Amino acid sequence: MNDEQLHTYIEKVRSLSLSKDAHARIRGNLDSFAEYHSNSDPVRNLETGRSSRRVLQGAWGFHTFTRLISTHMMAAILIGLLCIGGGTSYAAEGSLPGDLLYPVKVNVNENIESALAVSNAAEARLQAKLVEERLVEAEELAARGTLDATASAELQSRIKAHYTEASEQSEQAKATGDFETSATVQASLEASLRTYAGILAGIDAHAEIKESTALIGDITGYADKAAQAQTTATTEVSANAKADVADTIAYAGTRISAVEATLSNAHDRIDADTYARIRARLDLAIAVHVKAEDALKASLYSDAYRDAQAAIRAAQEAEAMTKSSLRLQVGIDLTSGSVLQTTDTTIRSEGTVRSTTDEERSSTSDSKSEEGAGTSTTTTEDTEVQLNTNATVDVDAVGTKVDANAGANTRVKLGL
Amino acid sequence: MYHMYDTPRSRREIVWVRKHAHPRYKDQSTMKETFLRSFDEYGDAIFRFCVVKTSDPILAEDLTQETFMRYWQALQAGKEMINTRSLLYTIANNLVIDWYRKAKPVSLDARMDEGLEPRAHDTMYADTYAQYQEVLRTMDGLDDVDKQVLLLRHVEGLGPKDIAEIVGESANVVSVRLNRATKRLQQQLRV
Repeated sequence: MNDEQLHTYIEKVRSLSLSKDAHARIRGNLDSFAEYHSNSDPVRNLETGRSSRRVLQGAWGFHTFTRLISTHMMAAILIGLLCIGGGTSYAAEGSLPGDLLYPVKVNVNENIESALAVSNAAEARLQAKLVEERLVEAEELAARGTLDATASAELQSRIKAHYTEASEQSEQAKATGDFETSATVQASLEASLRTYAGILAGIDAHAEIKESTALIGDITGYADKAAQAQTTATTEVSANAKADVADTIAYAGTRISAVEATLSNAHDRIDADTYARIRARLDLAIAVHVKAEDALKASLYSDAYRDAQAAIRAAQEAEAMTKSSLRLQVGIDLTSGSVLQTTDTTIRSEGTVRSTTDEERSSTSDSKSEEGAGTSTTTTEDTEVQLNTNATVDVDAVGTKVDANAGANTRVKLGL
Repeated sequence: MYHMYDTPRSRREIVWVRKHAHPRYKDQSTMKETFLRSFDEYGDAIFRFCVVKTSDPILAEDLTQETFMRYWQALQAGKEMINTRSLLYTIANNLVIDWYRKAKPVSLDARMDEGLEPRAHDTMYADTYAQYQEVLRTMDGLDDVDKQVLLLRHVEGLGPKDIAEIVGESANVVSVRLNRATKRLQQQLRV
């Protein structure tokens, strides 16, 4: 037996010990662990096994409470309360007019967002987003069949406020030379407004309570105003820098890819028919976007600008349709027997094409004659034709047209 | 952290507590002192035990800490501590077994859920770590059971009876194992 070697081995293993650091660290941890996990009442009456101090305390009070919960529990409770506090504002996000938390959403959450939007451009985009948010709420209420006069009036006034603010902010942005914001905000506003006007009209046609007529009228009116704002912006920008147009086109590009992502995520949850329509609209956006890029290369800024806006509109419409069809399917599943009877009900958003096409055409032909570019003539006209293909009704006639059809045709189409 | 009921409030209460308190732990602070002293005394031994059983010094540190936390909880539950040392070994042994039973790849999330801070190897000094590894290499050829009994017998100086209690076998079985393990170790050291 080799005692020497065994002894060395033993010594070596014995040398395995916690390093000074580790020892200090673990000791510290154990110290606080022992502190926090102290039995808050170690002194027990040995005979009864019951807490001794409670007897002295007499009645239950806050002291009893603090003694029974240890400090770390107290901390956990506080954190919990904080989370619940934050949770209220989070929970409010999904609320609708008439809900308990809706005031929290519009008065607290959105004002915070607004306070965080520092520039005119950011504020304009936010207000445009809030217009869309109100439109979504209107759609949800309508789909549930609970869009009553009160909610409708509230949404009307809120949409008006947001729309006015968005226009003002984008005007101010434009005044400081930011044409890109102005154009993109107005273009996406117009698209959202038109899409939802169509959707609401579609739902309204089948609704028992028809309280949304005034609301739809308002929405269509704002859409027209937004279209008007774009045409003025279009003529103004022709004198302005190439950079603005390039920015607008770039924005259109990011919008398109964002919508593409949304749509591909939603692919499985949308019925094939609707998907194909949305896909077609998105393809149109891509095509127009390409044209805008070509026009920019050819220094046809006015055309490029207009096409970029058209691309943004188409992309925005595709997005609104995607989201809407996802929501409505869910809504239908949840509220069977509501105004929408079947999941294959799709909504025709009539008049997604701008009402100002005539003006635009004339301005387009003006610029074409100025530029004298023969090639771009065909391409822009193609665009216009594509945009017009499905515009079966005049925008102003949307509400009445769908109403008239309602009796005979229960199928509403999300139109392209 | 200070707790308002750690100190009796009234004279009457002080008298009452002195009269009725458990003779061993008159108050929490003494109890904590005793607990921390037991860590100073046995911390290294528990750590060695865990290193030998897991071959992972960093894990062993965590297990050591956990062992003492469980020990504190046992104290709080009012268990009578007759043999602190062998209780600590038993807790550590159970923890190691639990650790082996649990999903082998210990996910970071799981560890953070348990409240263990994620620590990279570089928090342990490189030379310390190297030293640990060197010692561990000398035991490479031995199986876990051998390592454990050798450690407890030769390094920690426990008798077969205590070892038996820790590993949950009879003293006889432990003696036989110890004998065989010693022979195998000697063989290996000679090579």
